[in-house]
Amino acid sequence: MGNVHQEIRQMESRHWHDKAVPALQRFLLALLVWWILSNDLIGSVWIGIPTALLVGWVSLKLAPPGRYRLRLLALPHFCLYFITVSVIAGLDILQRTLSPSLPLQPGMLDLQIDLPEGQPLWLFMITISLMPGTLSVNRQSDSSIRLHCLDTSNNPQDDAKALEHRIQTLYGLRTSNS
Amino acid sequence: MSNLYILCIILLLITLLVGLIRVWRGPRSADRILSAQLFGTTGVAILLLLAELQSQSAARDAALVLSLLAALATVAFVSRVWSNARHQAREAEHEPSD
Amino acid sequence: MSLLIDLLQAALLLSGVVMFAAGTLGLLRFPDTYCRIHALTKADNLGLGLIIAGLMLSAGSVLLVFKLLLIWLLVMLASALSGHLVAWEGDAQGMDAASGDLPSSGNAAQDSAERER
Repeated sequence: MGNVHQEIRQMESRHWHDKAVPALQRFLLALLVWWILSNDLIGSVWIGIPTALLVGWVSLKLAPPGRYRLRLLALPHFCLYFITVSVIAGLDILQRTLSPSLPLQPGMLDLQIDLPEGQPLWLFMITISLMPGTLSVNRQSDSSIRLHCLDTSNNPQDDAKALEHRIQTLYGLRTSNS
Repeated sequence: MSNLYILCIILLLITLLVGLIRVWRGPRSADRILSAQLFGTTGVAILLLLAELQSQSAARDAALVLSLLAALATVAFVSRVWSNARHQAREAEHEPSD
Repeated sequence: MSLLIDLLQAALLLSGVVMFAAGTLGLLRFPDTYCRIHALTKADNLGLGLIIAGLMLSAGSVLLVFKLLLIWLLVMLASALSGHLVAWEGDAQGMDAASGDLPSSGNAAQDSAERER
């Protein structure tokens, strides 16, 4: 019981900081996107800054910051991995569509994925759809994920597990020594 | 270089037109809505090439909007049309007279 | 040097077109809705990525490179999400994973009606 109270007090003391940092991050991100879209930040700053403020506020309301933060240092590695994998995925499709016999062995695969709700799981669902031979279909009630696989004989669960590990590393959910 | 852009645009338009065969043949409405996705991605590529060819940066903004609209079309289709069909089928199943 | 960049750009743009063609071919050749989603999302994303990489070479400004990257990211997100949604609804309707057929009990009439439409 006392533990819970202590935790609540800790959360309250971090309250201010926990709200300001994501708000500032989202404002800066919106401003960056505005800059990219408008080509000219200085000339349109009077529209850009209020818009970025509004966008930041709305995004905080619609998608409150989750508990899991991306490790920026791990991001380039993940991007490189993602690009490699999506190139392989495209070539895989190319090879399958061009071969006359159409080598497909489609089927569903239910897989237990150890990622928390929110951002990490969403990133997994989106990325797995762009990886070779897998497509995220559904989240089952028992916290497993249903994937559709183009070729079930190709060990698609290994790819999914590899991606799971990458995302765990990206969010600092596991020690990155392995 | 501009000849290359024109060549790419024409080839992309051809793949887009060939993709329309899937709209025609279906067989399900889900297969047809996939071509909205096809139009989204291919359309973006064509618009980006056009923007470069004609030095019209506005075409890039059009590409952004097109990609969003294609996604919205799919979302609207799945949440309004297709899942409605499922619910209606389920209701019809529960009525023994039908 | 400029010739080399031009050649690289031509190679990137043309292989992008090839990937788009593969996506369309997959859309036509693959046997069921799920497999067609695979073909579309993966091949078209790589195709767009290659074309954008090609265009980046002649972009001339960092801002334009970022804009092209932003467009790619957005299209990727949009097409992965719409592919996921169609697959999700297909699964909810009990569409078979191996054959792509809807279950015959219950909504067979609806299925055949849809097939005819």
